[in-house]
Amino acid sequence: FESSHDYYEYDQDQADAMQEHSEPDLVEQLRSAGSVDELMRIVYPTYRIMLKCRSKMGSRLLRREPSSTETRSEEASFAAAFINLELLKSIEIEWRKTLCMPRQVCLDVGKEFGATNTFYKPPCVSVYRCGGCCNSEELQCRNISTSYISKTLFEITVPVKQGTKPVTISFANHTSCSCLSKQNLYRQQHSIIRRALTECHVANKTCPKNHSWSNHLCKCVLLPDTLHSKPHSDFETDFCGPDKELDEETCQCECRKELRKAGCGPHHYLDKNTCQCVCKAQPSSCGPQQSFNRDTCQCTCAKVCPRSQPLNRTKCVCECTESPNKCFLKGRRFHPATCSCVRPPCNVDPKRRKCKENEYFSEELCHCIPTYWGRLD
Amino acid sequence: YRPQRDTNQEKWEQELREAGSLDELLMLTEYPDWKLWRCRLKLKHFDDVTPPENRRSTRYAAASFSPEMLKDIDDEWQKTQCMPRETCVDVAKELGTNTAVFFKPPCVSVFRCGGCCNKEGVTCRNTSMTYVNKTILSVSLAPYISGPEPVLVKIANHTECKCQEHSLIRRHARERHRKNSCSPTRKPEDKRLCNKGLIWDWMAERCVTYPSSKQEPPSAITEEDCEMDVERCECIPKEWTHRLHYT
Repeated sequence: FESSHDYYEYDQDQADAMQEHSEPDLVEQLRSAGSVDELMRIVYPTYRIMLKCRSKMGSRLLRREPSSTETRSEEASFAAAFINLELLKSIEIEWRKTLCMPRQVCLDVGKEFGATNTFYKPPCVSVYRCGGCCNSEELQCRNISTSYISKTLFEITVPVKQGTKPVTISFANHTSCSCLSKQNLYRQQHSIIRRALTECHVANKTCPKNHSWSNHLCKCVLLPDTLHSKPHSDFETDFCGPDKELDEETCQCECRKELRKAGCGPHHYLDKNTCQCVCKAQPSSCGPQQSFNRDTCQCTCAKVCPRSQPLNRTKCVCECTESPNKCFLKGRRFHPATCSCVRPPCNVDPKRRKCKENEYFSEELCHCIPTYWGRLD
Repeated sequence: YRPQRDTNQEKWEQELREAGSLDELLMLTEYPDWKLWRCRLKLKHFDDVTPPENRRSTRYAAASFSPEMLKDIDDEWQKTQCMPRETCVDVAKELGTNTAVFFKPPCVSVFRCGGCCNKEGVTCRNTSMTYVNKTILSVSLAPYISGPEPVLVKIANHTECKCQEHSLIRRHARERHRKNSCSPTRKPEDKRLCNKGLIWDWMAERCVTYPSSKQEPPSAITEEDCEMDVERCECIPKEWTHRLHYT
């Protein structure tokens, strides 16, 4: 008979089997994850919110209204997440079946209480022993509590003289199990480790930006923050879309917090549907001669003015920059047609250009004026 | 008669060792009430047939066993037979992947031949099997680019078992082992190629539709090895020689 299972019996209880690392590597965390829930929390921090909202949405979906367009789009986007959740659920069920726990196994009585000239019928008994898989290679499934169960068998001694003799034998029955560290075991037992846990030969901990040294991989790896961004967006994009995330309170897809906190600036607000910054005012609120500016979210004057009459944006009218008073101060003449100050030609006899002692000839006025008036040019 | 008796004694002892059931054992040891025991099993009126008064009968006090005790032994014997049992299988070892890839959960639950054989020199092995699809998450570390990714793996599921000799099984086991160790390793560029509704098939190395059907465990078939004689209340073995040959 060849025993298909190798079972361990650990008599002493072990407390504090494994101490948690304060800052474990991401890969170490992934290796040590013991359930789908734990695994998803590491990679997708919003996984818990999705599960919580799913339980709420479950009852809500029953009361859905097919006529509503919004309900349809919401249901469609939520249904996409169901596929992923269904897959995760099947993985979770599989995971639970392989956990470290007491399992019914066949135990060879002859090997347990072996004597070559004695055999038992039945040759094996069914008892519970710790079995299953641990989530880390450093751990081993061990019993932390044991009871004893009596079994009645026929014992036959060779040469057979008295025939079969019924005997009652007590067997260890494991009642609770735990994954314990192999190194902390009191009795050192031989165990085959698929991969040897060796330290890094080169302790090179100087890494580039956004990288950190991994004692597990013996090289620089991207920081968890950088790693989380891609899977994070990939997972949530399927459900809410690129610009939205699942809100825990409302169980609705809301615009991301970064967008909400950043703000849109004056005269803008964040549209909940498109997660884009849109204007508070509406184009219809502008005047007849005005047009709506989408950049500033304000009404602007749409009137087209000639070059000589620039636009007054406040009044929304075409106005001349010059006026008769301004032209007079310049010593010129105001020309309404061109909205400019002009100077007529001075056709004066050269003789009259000679002025008295305290006077000079003004080209603007075409006349002799006193010197103390000052030059207007 | 001494030489012949010794030979018969050894032969009888060998048959005792190879007895595969309580019924067989009681018959070999010429248990006085073995016919009654057989009738009780077949009638399936275990408690009714046994009046309380008969338990303390002094006629067979020296040689008879308690019917309850016999039933317990028979039940125990049935539970430890060679048959497909739910077993935890390490996926990485089964697929033969290198250490750069690990799976979550690290094991899956499939049926594998387990239990005890009633004689030495034979082991409980599968005579037929199927492959079941398991959905798990795989994490690639060379290099670590993205988080866990769902993959589809096929694991052997034993459907029938039998106690067989060692020599035959070793060749079969080696052949299967060689096949498993040839599983290819995925390339980093293949990451996240599957669209929604598809999943990466580890063995086929392509994206397949995600199967939603659940695998059913193999049903145990119980064969009747004898016919009941109503008048004599006795079960006549149908293929007695055949059964002895198999055990």
